[in-house]
Amino acid sequence: MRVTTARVVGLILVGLVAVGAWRWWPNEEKRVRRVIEGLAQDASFTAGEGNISRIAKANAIANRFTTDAELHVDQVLRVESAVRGRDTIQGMLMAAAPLMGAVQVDVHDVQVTLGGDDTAQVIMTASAKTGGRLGGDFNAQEFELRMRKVEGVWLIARVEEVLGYRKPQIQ
Amino acid sequence: MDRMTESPGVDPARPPLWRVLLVGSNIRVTLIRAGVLAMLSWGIFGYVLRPVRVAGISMEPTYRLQQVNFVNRWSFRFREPGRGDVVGVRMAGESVLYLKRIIGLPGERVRFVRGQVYINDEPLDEPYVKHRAPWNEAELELGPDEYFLVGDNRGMAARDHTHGAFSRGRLVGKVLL
Repeated sequence: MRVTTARVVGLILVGLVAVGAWRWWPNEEKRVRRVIEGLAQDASFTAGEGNISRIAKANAIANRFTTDAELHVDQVLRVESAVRGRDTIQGMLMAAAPLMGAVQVDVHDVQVTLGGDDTAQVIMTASAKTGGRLGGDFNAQEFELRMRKVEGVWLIARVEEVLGYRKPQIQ
Repeated sequence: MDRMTESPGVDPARPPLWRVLLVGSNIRVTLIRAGVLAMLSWGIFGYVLRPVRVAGISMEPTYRLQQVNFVNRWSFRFREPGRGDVVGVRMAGESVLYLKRIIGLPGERVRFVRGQVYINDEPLDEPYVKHRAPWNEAELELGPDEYFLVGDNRGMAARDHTHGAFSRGRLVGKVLL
């Protein structure tokens, strides 16, 4: 009986170690996922967060983009044309960060497809909760990201919103 | 000869009350019940009824903020989605779903004139719409695989309201309640 119990405990332990190793073992897909999760964390602000922290976060977000990054997010930003270049993105973020209220950004259903040439495609849904104690407005949007590994670091080269439906033309 | 004493009204074979309350009178039966319940919950809520909590206002007043509901993922296995059905629509995955009402079916032409919906030039009766802003939108002809979805809250500006032609593949299922 004691031998059987010891075997069962041993098997459970081996299983736990295997699951832990599988979960924590670094690979490229996990590195890409960490960039996306970090982006969501940096894009979240509490109501009482100071400007220095906000600007630091805005900088951290900008540093996750390549120097020639492009944002095609017309619906989200309500702008007609694409935003091009890390410096432009950084400028926009620096201007917006101190003005923003509390916002909680989360990413969901992150699907990573690695390319053979240090590139990756990411499809995901991002959601943002805003308002009093984050119980106010809720918005979600699907995005497609192109990522590129530059000097060993995964950076975002292109962000495109995915509408997922045909919108009627407002008259 | 042993003398046995017995308190009146207490069954010696019966486990103490605290144990009955904690794990039932038979722990093996309780474990089996818990296992069956866990398996059923995993199967039902993982593959059939997807629990959702309403987070936006686009379906008001039919569905209000923070209301809990379920999306039946099997509802369109045996029949096609129909006009008036409130459905869950997926984005990149199913973690975040839009809740919208089907007003247009494949092949139909849909347009808004001063807030009134016209399907193939016929006005659509929508008793569930309580707030109606004067939306004006060009006619949209749906493809063979497309459904026109819109929320019940038409009091907001059209550009702030996610609506349009969604492909059948994005419809996860019908909202249960």
